Amino acid sequence: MSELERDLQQLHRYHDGELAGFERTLFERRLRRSEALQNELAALQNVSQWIERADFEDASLGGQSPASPDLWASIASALPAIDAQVEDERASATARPTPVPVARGSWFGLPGWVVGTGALAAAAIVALAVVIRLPGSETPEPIAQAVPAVVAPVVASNAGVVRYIDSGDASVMVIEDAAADMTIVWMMEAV
Amino acid sequence: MHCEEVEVRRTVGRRGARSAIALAGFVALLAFALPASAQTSVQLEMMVSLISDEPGEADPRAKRIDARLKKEFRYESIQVLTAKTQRVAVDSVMTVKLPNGKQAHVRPLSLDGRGVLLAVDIEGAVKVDARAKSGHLLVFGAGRHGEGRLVVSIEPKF
Repeated sequence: MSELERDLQQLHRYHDGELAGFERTLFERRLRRSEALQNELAALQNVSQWIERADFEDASLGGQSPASPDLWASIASALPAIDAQVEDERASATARPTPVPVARGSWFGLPGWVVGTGALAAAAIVALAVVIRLPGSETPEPIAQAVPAVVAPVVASNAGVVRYIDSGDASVMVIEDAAADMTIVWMMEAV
Repeated sequence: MHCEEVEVRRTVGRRGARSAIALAGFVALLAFALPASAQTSVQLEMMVSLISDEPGEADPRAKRIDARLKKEFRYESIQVLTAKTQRVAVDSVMTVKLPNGKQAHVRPLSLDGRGVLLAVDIEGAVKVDARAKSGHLLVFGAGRHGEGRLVVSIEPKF
């Protein structure tokens, strides 16, 4: 299946309201950037309206009222808000390729003398540090919970599962789904 | 004189008992906390799958991935191309070859009570550092391949 055929197939599914989740978001990105797809969508809408009008005229004897919403108008009005949201997410992300700090060569992040002395007082401090770092004591704030987040090509984070992403020039979507115990990192294709 | 000796013994006895209790408490705490942090390796299950519009059934090994990805993408089949399980030490690298000629590398950077910090490098796609608990599934889109898309999944167990 060629790119064009795939786009047209998706356009029809989009027009029929069958696209959801990533697919819908990705397709709307392509739609925003492709005049040909916009024209095709407008043509589809014209056909739909024409059919609805014809149906209405057929059914007018029964007194039924047609409902023919202008889909593109609602999409176009929503696009600035989507753009703003994407820009906000990019701005809020720390766009520095700083590696995640990893504590190496230190025992629980404490100075070596604490572990080495063997004195009971020092051991108590170590024990306290161990308790503090036990599982469950940390309350991470995930980047996104079951909601796709469009992130900049390079993102460093101190919370959630994903701590750092470098995807070159491509944008990526991140879904951290705690319920499914799964994290999805998906590259978005260039349009 | 005799009374003084008894008093000294009692004092020493109390101190010794307190120290023993404190030491026992410390040992108990360490015994409770150390198993996760003392590990130096983690078992990694890596899988390379292909989702495509080609008709077919979902590979049972990819059932969990399929159940979640289906909510986001429309595809007809998911096929497992490579599955590899390996115990990997911290700072060592596990590599799988992708059918597009590239490779996917995973390096556990650290392992503690918060989970394992993995550095994932999928050539030609993304570089990700992710901290995951045991059993948490990391799923990466690794780009187009033929008529489908490659999916690399990593599940740490420890």
